[in-house]
Amino acid sequence: MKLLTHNMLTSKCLKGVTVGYPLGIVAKDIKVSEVDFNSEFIARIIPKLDWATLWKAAESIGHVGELPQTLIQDFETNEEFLKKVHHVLLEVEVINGDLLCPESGRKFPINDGIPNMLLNEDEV
Amino acid sequence: MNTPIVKLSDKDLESVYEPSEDSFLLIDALEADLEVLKAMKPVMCLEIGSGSGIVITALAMALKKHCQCYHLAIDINLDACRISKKTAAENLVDIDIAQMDLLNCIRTGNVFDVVVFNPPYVVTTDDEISNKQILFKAWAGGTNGRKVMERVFPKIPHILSNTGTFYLLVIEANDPEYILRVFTDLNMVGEIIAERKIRGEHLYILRFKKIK
Repeated sequence: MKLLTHNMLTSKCLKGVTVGYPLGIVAKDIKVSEVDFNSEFIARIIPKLDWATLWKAAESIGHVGELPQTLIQDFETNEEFLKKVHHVLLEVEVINGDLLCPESGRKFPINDGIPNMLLNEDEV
Repeated sequence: MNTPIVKLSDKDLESVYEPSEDSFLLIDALEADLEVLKAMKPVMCLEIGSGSGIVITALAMALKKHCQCYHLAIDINLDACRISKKTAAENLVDIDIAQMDLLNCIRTGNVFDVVVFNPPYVVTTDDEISNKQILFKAWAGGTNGRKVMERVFPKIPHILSNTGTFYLLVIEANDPEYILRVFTDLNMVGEIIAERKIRGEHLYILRFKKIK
């Protein structure tokens, strides 16, 4: 599971949970691989992200590096910055671990890179 | 568009939907739209219920030559998630996978540029949707065959980007004209972009965009 995917996931559908975002991450195994860098793609994807969530996720799994906590201005033209974003978005993957609902503490296990977001009937 | 290599063992086929005429029609419709898709330069694509992964893999393979794009596939069935991942890897594309019931845990943020859905569309009793055999989830559609897909419809405007496109496969029995009207109420405009008659089924591909 990439941190980009984590950015899209919420536990709001749980009964009694009002925001359910962002999910916490407890990573047991992390894989880092090299992915081709495309500055235009990263620049276009940044506006779709919840920046604070990405930063916190990267920080919580020890891969935040020099990524600034708040999104910089003129990021489209800052290649060095875009490369850092590229790394946390696409090159770092959580292979095994858990996602945690921020309100209920409900765990969503991640196995072989696939988060299990299924809910029991009595949780919905 | 190249057809991805999909390797399913007999055991896989007990729980995962084998690529069939519906999958191929959806791929053909995406291929016919490829120039439009390339021009829009999607950065985020999502397939709901990816099964073997053949459709999103075909899309990822076609887009890869022109632009970088992030692909997410979701399926309720862990076997389908694993096979989707494997299909992507065997065809050298990168697709992230999450096990989920429809869009339950996807946040609403209008981020996806392309959303593809080949839903369980077969008309069945509503009970059959919750049959214990996981493969039923791949095809049992309940009343009018729309019971499952209708859970997704109201969420589409909230996950689709403002310039995004939603592709939906349905059959005659689902009443495509009715579905087009449902989306009008969601402030989206849809049209039939492909259809194919196969033995016992008349398949349609509907394409929706937001009304600006």
